[in-house]
Amino acid sequence: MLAQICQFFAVDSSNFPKNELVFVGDKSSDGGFLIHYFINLCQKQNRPLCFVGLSQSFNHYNSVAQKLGTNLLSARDENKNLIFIEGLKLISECVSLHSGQFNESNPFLSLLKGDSTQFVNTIDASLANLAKIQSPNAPVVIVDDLSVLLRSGATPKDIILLVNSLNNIITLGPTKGSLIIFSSLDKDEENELCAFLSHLCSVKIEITNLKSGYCKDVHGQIEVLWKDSLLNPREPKTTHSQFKLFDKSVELFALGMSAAVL
Amino acid sequence: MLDDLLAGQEKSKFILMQDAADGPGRYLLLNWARNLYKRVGKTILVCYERPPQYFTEWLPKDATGRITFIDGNLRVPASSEGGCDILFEKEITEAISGPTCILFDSLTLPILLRQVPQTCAVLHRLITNENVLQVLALIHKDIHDQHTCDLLSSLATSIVDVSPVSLLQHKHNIRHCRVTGKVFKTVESVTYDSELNVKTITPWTSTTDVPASSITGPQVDPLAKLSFNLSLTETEKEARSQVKLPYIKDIETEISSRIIYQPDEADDIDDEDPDEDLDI
Repeated sequence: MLAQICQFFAVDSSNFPKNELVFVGDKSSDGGFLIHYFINLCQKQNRPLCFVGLSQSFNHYNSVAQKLGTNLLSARDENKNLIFIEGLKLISECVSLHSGQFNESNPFLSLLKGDSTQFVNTIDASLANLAKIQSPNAPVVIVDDLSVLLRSGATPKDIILLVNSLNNIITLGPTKGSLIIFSSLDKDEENELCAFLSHLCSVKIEITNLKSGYCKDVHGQIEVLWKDSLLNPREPKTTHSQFKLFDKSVELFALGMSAAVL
Repeated sequence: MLDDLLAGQEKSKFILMQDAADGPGRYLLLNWARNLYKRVGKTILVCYERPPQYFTEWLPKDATGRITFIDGNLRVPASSEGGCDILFEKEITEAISGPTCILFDSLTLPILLRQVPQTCAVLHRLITNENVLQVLALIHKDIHDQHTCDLLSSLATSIVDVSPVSLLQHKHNIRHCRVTGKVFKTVESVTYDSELNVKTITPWTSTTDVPASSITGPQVDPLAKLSFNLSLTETEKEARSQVKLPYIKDIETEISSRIIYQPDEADDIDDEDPDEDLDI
């Protein structure tokens, strides 16, 4: 899977992402494979990774990673090059009706109230911890999935300010790391947020269903738009492909060139 | 019109550029900054979406000394609580010395953090400053509602609405109000080279504006160049019209006939009225 997607992106698998703000917009239900691709890529490069899991628990990502040949448990506990923030669990603590007492140290509590300072400080502290392992590669922060915050009660304005602050400390800060944001695009209310991310990002990846409807041999369409980078204007480029997902891999092919058609 | 505005031949106090994600106005803003620093003594560039390094990498080396950068991005707070001078009015005013132009690479974050009328008030104060020659601001129309765009448009003397044609070609709807009050409306197409320099600015011609004759070309008779004959002469056409086709009724040979039904033994002819039981 790693080699195929890197080939499609036309990037060097040992040096990507390099100071990029990547926005993955998923208009289908099959776009999750790209998150596992990025986790796998970071692990193969032994790159410091801070992962904010808002849509799934750590066990889910670890199970998928093990299928793809990497062990997130040892990366988190032994190698210390992965910091996993259990966002799903922390958000559920904030919105739970039965928990009378809220943990004030929970960064999502203030985030859902409109102040993302504590959350940004948490990410900043995580980056400082990752810097201790002295990796030659810049750190990567992955957020999956940003639209969960919107559905949990945060306003688009608060999330826009959060993304801007994360961008400042991760990609524009001294570490010159990369930020990868995954967001599902199936609701109209997310348009404002997605439009802002589309303006701010340097790479936009959009995954959509086939316009013609469900097909068992073609699961969807992927479009990559290379916009001007964060520190240097560059020529925009776009590539399209269709894909079919398998248990451990993905098959990418040119539009209309599925094996089922040929 | 756009090249006149870029070159400074058309005076405009406040230029509002409106763009969407698929047609970024940032490329035009880069070119605008380069044109401004060449002809104006001082330029102030307030950056919110890209750091000053982004602009200095693209602009000529001598531009960096003549452009004052204000990095608004790093100073945008993580929370919308508390009023802060997000448009850096005080800092900009202090930096103004002599004829100055001011550029905002995006007004999205200031509008999100402050109310739109407050942003308009600050912009109005900057526009009316006697030392300010021109203010140019970019706004993302796909993030803000129509009311916000309209409020800012009411301040602007020129509005450039950017929409995409391809990655390096954009269509610009321009509305420019001259000092005399005369309003011009034009649609122009701008193409960029791979370095994002403005390559051409031409009047926009869509395919719908092109006359139908120029699309289809002169009508050519397809039978003219054939090596064999597919058409008929007049006598042949007359002969064809005389042919009697077998399925057409000939009135003279028509014979009148009638059907005679002769019942056989198996027929059960019932003379009774089938509806006699009904009380009609």
